[in-house]
Amino acid sequence: MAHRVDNEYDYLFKIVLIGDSGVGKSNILSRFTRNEFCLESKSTIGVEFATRTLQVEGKTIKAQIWDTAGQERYRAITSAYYRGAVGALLVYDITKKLSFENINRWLSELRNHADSNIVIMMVGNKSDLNHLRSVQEEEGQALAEKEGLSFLETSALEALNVEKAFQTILSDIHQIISKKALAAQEAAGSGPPTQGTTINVADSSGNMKKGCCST
Amino acid sequence: MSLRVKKKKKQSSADEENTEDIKPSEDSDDEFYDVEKVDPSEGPVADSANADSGTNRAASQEGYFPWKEELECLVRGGLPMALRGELWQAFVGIGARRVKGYYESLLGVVDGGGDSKGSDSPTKECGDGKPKASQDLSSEKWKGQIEKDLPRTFPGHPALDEDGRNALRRLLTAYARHNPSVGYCQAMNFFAGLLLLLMSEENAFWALTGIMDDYFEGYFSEEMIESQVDQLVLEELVREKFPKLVNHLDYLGVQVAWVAGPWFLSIYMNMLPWETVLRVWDVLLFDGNRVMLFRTALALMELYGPALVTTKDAGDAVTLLQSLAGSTFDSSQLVLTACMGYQAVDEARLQDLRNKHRPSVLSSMENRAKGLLAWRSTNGLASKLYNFKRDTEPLVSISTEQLNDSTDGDANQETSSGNIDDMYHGLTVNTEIDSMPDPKDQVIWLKVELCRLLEERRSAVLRSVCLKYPRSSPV
Repeated sequence: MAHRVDNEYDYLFKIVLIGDSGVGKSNILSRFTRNEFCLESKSTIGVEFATRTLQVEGKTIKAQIWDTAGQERYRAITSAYYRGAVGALLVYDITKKLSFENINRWLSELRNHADSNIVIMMVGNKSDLNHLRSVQEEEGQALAEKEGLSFLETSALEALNVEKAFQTILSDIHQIISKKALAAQEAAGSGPPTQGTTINVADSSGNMKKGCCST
Repeated sequence: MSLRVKKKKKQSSADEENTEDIKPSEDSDDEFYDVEKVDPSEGPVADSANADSGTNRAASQEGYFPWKEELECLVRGGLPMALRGELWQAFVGIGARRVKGYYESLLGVVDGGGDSKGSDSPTKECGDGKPKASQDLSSEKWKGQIEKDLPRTFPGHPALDEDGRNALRRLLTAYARHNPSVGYCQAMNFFAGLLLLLMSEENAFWALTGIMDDYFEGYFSEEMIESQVDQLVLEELVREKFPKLVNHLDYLGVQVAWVAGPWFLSIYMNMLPWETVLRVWDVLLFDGNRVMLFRTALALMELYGPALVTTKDAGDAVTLLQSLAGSTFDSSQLVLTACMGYQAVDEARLQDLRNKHRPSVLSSMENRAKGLLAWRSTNGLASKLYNFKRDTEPLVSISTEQLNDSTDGDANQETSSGNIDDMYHGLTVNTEIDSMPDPKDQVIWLKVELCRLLEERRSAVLRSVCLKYPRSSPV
């Protein structure tokens, strides 16, 4: 709530947080929207919701984030929340191999129920627990490349890369949107593109762009 | 314990002798609970579990309880905290369900022997005899989820120390074994945790069983069908009662279910202030069904709708509604608005609406599992059965022959015809026929059981699709 700045924003993006139960989705959300971390957090029932407005590439973007319950049977319910989402953070726990192996199931879930253009970012959370690591960063990276996703390891506890993860996905989305807008503009033949926004097509799914902490 | 309840009752109700009058006429010494349980269910509730023991008496019940309205008022006014645990147990009717040794037997070593532990199985809940047979087969895959959720249940609460968590683990494990078609579903950890705060472990088990099996049947099972149906029902009710608000929400692209879904699934726990949650539970448990979920949601919409209309985007609307709900400290206002303002929203109305919306939930589930032939062919029958199971008055109209016919029809359609037969066979073996006084009751019981089995099979099929589906599954 601390970040509910105002009602003025250029874009409103809906993002869903998905992944196995207990990988830290809710803490990623609270870290991002309230800069809080709760070691003893409670299970998410159904979905939880929060927003935050931030600057991405010079634009004010309001991120609407839906945090979903991880238990398998909740998918029938949570998939209803995929509608209209332009981005998804697919989270696994680097200390839980199974949560990484389930990434594929979550991907097919997204591909079956979300918009086909949804931007997906894979996130390996709990990087602070390096001594318990069971998924190597390279494995995550490799899978992300294979599936064409961006990738980051985060630690909600240490506030490491959480901001960056959201910045990355939001700017990816922003680029796609402005690319589309540009294409539409050109198709309509209405003169030169507005402003000098660089639209790097090849880079649209690339990862890690901006530094963190814009707020 | 029942004594204690009675004693306390005396203070609040002068007509207490009436209870005494009824008691001898019935069977068990725990009758008090049974009476309590049946009493609020005004007439034949279409609840399957009530059907076998409740309906006959419920009809003639009204006259015996001149103090019913008074009691209802008292419940709506909020139960005293000191009595809450006892009264909840009475409302849920745990005395009538309790079977000595059952809880321990569920927690006992899981060995192959499907013995019935020498206990006369509860007549109340049809699933009771069954779990033991299928227990060894189910891999207890819910274990991991329970472990994950133990520390995430009221974290930091002093009662949930090491011992508290162990009790919570036992309780959830016992329930999962008692009703494998539900197993464990997130949210139950909170229900169980709350019950443990208010009553002894075994009583909490019976209360949880009552709540899950009677009040929320089909809600937390693998498919969560009823939970989805209820959201469609609520949506229709909100549309009917608050057209202006819905107009605005439509404009913003907000679905009522986005917010109300978690409300219902958690029975408002963690969604409203604690005192308010308890007040809602008081009424819900007293009512004997989940009507109060709807009434509370409608009351919240009534209270906060005007504020919602001012929001400018979907995120703001959802955030505002959540935070307003979370600060509903005037629990009396909420409960009274809910109970007085929405009396017309009763169980019969809800059942009608559920029957209306259920097919669309079932068909969208079908779409989820698209491409699966087996699933498609069973769906027709399963949903049909499912529907008349819930019907309010099918008890006489549907004969066993019909039921058998349709089963055969399905079996023929299916390549795996043995499947259903096996289940049906297993079903008859496990029945507690002796304890069913009336053949009509037996028929109902069998129908319900068959539906449940079909449901179970359907979810098994669905799961197998999920396993097949992932594109490049390394799992």
